[in-house]
Order: sequence, then C-alpha cells, then structure tokens
Amino acid sequence: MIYLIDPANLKGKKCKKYECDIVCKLCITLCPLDIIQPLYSVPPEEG
Amino acid sequence: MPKKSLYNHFQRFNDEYYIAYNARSGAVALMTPQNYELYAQMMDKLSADTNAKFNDEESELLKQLEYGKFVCGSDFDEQRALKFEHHLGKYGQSMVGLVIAPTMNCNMACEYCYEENKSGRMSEQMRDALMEFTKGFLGSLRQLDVTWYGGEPLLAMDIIEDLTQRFFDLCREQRIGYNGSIVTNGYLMTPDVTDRLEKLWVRNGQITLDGPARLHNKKRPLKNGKDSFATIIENLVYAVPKINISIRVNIDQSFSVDTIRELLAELRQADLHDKVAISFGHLEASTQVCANIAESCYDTLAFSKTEADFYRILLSEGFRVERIPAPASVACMAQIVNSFVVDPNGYLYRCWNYVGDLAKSMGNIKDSLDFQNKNFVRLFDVNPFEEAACRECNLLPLCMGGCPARRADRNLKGEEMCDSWKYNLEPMLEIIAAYKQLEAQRKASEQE
Repeated sequence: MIYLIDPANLKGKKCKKYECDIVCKLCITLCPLDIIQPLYSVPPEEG
Repeated sequence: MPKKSLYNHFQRFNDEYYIAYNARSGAVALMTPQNYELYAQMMDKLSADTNAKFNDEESELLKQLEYGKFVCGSDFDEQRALKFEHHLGKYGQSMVGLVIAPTMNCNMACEYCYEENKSGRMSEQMRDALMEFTKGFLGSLRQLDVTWYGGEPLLAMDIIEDLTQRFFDLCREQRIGYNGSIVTNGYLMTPDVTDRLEKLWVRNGQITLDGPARLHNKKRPLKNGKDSFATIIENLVYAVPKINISIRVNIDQSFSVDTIRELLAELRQADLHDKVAISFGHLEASTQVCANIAESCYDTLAFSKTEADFYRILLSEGFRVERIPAPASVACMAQIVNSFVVDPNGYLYRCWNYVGDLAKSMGNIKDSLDFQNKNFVRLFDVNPFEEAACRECNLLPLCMGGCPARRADRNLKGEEMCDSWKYNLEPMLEIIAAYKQLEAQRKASEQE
C-alpha cells in the first residue's frame, strides 16, 4: 500500500486545528494539513 | 483476530490502483488491484472463520491495513472509541481557544454578510477584563489559540498589538504555547501590517476573494463604493512568504467553471498559484441578516458537485489542493468547552455567526462562566451519537454531526445535516490522490 496521506503525519505535523480537534467550517481553511506548523511554542523572551 | 473497519472506503482509481480511505484515521492509500482482491478474500475468510490463518503475503498486507486503521481487532468497538475521542475533544482543559473581534466595524459592505452592521471597539477596560478571563484558565492551560476576527480586525490593529503583547507576557510567564490566526478581508493587510502581524505570531490568515476582480468588486465593495480586489492581491503578494494564507471563495449559483478559471488566471498572473491554499465556502443564509441571499444559494448536494468540479480545475491548473477528509473529534468550536467567540463588549458566543447578536450570547467575560446558560447548552449539547443517521454513518469521524448551529437554528436533521463529503467523497478522493501523486513526483524531481 502506498500511503498518500499518512495517518501518523496527521498527528505528527502538529497542525493546530487537528491537534486540538477544532475543525469548523470557517476555520478549517486556516489550517491546510500540508502546512507544517511549529505551533504552540512559548513566545520568546523580548529582545 | 482482525475485522474490517466501519469507516472504510475503497474505489477504483485507475488501471494501476484502488484508492483506500479510512475516515477514522484519515489515511488515504493506493492499493494494487491484486492487494485489493487479497484484502477482500481475507475479509471473506474471516467472516467464514474468525480464527482463519493467513499466509505471509496476507499477514504483511494486514499489517499495512492495520496501520491505516482499515482493520482493527475483533473486540475493538470503533463507535465507542470514536465517542470517547469526541468527549476528550469536548472537555479537554489544556487548550483555550479565543476568537476575538476587537471591533465590529468593517470597511466592506458585502451583500451576504451575516453580521448586523455594528460599530464599536474593545475598550482598554474590556481588554483588562479579557486578560483576567484568560487567567481564569491557568492551571490546566497549556495552549492558547487566538484568532482575530470581526468586523474587520485590521481596523483595530492597535488592539491586536496590545492584547497580543499581554498574551505573550502571560504565556512566557506560565510557559504556555501560543498561536495566532486572523480572518480578514485583506484590504488593510499592507506590507507594514503583515510585518507587524508576523511579529505577533499570526501564522495563518484567511482572506475571502469572491471571484475574479470584476465579480469580487461587486460582491465585496468597500463601504465607500471603491474596488478592493487589486489592493488585496498586492497585499497577498507581500504576505504569502510570511503568513500561511488561505483564500476562501464563497460559492453561490452565480459561480461557473469559467468564473473560477478567470479568478485562477488572475492569481497566476500575480504568481500566487502555488503559494496560497484555495477553499470553496458554501454560502448559506445562516442568519436573518443575510436571508436575502437564500435564493441564490446552492443546497448541499448541488454545492458538493460544484465543489468537486472546482477542485478539479485547481488540480488541472497547477494550484494546491488542500481540502482533505481528515477526522475531527468535534464538529466545531461550539462543542469545545473552553472555546469562545468574544465581541468588543466582552460578550461570549458559541459560534462565529452569532457575534454581535446579544440574544445568542452565553454571557460576558466580566461574569462567571455559566455552562448551564441556554445559549451554551443549545450548541454544546448537540450529540451526533444520539441520532441514528449520524451514529451509523461511515463518515461520522469526518463531520461529527455537522455544524451545530445549522442543526439548532434551522432544525435540520439526518441527511439534511450532511457535509459535502457525503456526496463528493469519491471524486474528491480521486482529485486528492492525483494531487498527492503529482506532489510526490515534483518532490522527487527536486531532489534529483
């Protein structure tokens, strides 16, 4: 089998909407799965 | 012993492959006809004898099928697992999602807008109250997710900057992850504003283009009557390397294949074709304010056909195809206990469509949260597992019963609630598979 969409990547890519399971009709388009989003990092110290 | 999943879909793709899709895992895979045949034989074998033995070739295929959740253990209850994931999604305490409208004012006058034309900006006092409200979740909070919304949020850029700095301070102090997004019409997203948004960790933006310039300018004119398309495109060209931009095109019956091609040609001319994601929104008369558009809207069945046709054009024109049938534990934020839409006066809502409509507010950030408020319960309590049509549907992991507001406001039930996936899964899977193959070929040739 050739996995075109790998279920492990669905979680592994840490797309915020999927990681948090928020997928509404308005916001789903904010979160295309293929965009890897290094999200939820703590904001760096100022300066 | 294994059994087949309730959420499997198999379809012929071309001479070489079948497409295998599982709605619970979101896996999309290609299978040779031989492997598909082998899978069918194995399942037949199992229905005749639950203790059937498999040879090496069958065992290897079984392993690959298990990976995508196409098969599971015979004692595994998939519906129960799905329900458990649904509850986890609803009641999770580690994330707070805030959709904040810093102003209800807007610089556009779209004919289909569902918001009543309200003005008003979030006062400093209200911003203080919003910070106190957010601090109320500390303890279990690990992730703060903020989406700027409106009205047009960029009319209140000063408020976005002020609140983000305060969120940053809080997140640094408490070691909480932060993410920002924005829904904007894009007209005010000048290079300077984009640079500022980037610094404010606004990583995702949704901008609406309702067709090519000639149509967009009619449907989404500025309040002063002037055109907006050219400025938005100019802004996008600067913004796309910095912010992940998704272009939403709201579809009604006035859109044709030619209309979409015209828009794509304009985006290509601006060299945006491979830099933005495009999605097609199903325009519906969701509130009384936009009831005037009801006649020109598609029903879901007609929309789903049009949607697949338009995605086929995206594929053939070399644009990105990013709509994928991914599972979700809840239908939307209305079903997540710690997700709120906040208006400039601090009123809280369960749904983006309700912002500014006080009759649908579930309270105010200045007051204690009331999870028994009728406007909270009304959408939060919508439970797809209580309706047989949803419970038994093999696409339930995708839509989780669909938009709760649509269900509650319009009293829709059963198939009336279905998402376009219900009707266009097959053509969409073909388009997605073709796109993924092209993408893989492109990556391979880049590496050579």
